[in-house]
Amino acid sequence: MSDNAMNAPISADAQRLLDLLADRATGALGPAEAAELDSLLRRVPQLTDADGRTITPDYFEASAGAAMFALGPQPQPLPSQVRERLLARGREIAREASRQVAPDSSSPAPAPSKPAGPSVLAKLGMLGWLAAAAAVILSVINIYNAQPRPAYRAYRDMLASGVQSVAFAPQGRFKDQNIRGDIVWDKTTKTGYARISNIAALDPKQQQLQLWVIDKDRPAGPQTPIDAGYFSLDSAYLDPVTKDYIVPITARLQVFNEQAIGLTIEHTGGSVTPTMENLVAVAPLK
Amino acid sequence: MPGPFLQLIARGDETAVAACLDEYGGMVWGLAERYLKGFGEDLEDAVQEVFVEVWRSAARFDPAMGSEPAFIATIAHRRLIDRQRRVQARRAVQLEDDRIIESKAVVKDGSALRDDVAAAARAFESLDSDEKQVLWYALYQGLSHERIAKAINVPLGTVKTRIRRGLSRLREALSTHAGKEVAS
Repeated sequence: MSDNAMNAPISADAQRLLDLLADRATGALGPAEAAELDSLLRRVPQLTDADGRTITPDYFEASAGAAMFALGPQPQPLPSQVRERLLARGREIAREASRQVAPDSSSPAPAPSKPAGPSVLAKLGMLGWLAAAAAVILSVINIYNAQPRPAYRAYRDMLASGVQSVAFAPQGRFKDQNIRGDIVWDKTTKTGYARISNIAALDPKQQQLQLWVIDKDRPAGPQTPIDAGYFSLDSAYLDPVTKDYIVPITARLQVFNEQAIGLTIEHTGGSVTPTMENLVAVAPLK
Repeated sequence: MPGPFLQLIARGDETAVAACLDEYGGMVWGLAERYLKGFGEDLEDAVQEVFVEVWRSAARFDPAMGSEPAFIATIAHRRLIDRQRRVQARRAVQLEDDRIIESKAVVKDGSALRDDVAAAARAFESLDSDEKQVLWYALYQGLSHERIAKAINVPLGTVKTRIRRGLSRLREALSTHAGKEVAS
């Protein structure tokens, strides 16, 4: 096959989309190309190649993953301490999934699928019926409480949509505190979510966390980095299922060329400029 | 415990987590070592990042769309290559133009991974040498397309075409393998 054999008569958008998907699979997308890819994925929802094959957005990534295995080294045994820690994290995630799939088995019994008939009611007696009704109500409350908050669902949807997701890198004195988290960020809409866990509690009357967008193309001055929202570590942002804090990243000013998302501790009510001694973590953007 | 494991994990089966780690942990750790060792990156952190995404995405895994190893490999690839590129921007990479490029995956007998990896290795071997060369540079060495073009002295567009063609042919070969497995 020649190097030009794939230049088949498909639309220019489809051709470009194929190029960008292959580039992404080999990690070669710059920020402008990533934005172009996002835009094309919206414009060309159904992609087929010159041979009529349906090309999903992860079509080439699956090949690249397989090639990694093919080229990869012999598997190395996981160090036992690493395995233990991974196992603990994995079980935690499985438990979260379990709570989302069904109410906890220790919860009161769920409602029967059909209303109890008179003979059952008679057997239970009024007290039993009230207990059963209370159990139903408690069960519904438990199910509701175990549902991920809308912010978590939005975070998860963004993650699944393929926008970039970058881990927070703890900074300075926070490096020793095992703070975990990441951000999802859509370069097209300039919006995203931060997920934070394992962070020490703050007194909300004194201190709050604040997000910042570091914008390469915004002139230095009081408006950079851009304030992207401040928040307390309270139940408003705590997801009951995952125990993560999920916070929307909402830039207060227009973002031109974002380079990173920063997280600082500020006095309650937020700051105009970040307090660099209190820089908790940074997530570099591509 | 026989795989696949991801659907069990998505339903909250904690025992499947251990089985999943036993099946794929060594492979992902080996890949992380290969990609990141010597770059000052925390391998445990990288491997945790891969598995956390795998487990959190477990509900999205659809066996009808591809195999479990391919699903995990896709996530591992994306995460590890992202990390490698971030650190590689800070380092020069030794080009190895004369290196013999061949599949060298070895997986222990009896592993559920074995068939998939063997199929991937066969598919890779079936590619033309120019396709193998650019994919090896891009995926194994983590070079940008521009750097590959300079390394092998061909136009950038040719590199991109060979990469896309190689990935397409890999996918076709693997789909054929998957089709045979389903039929058997």
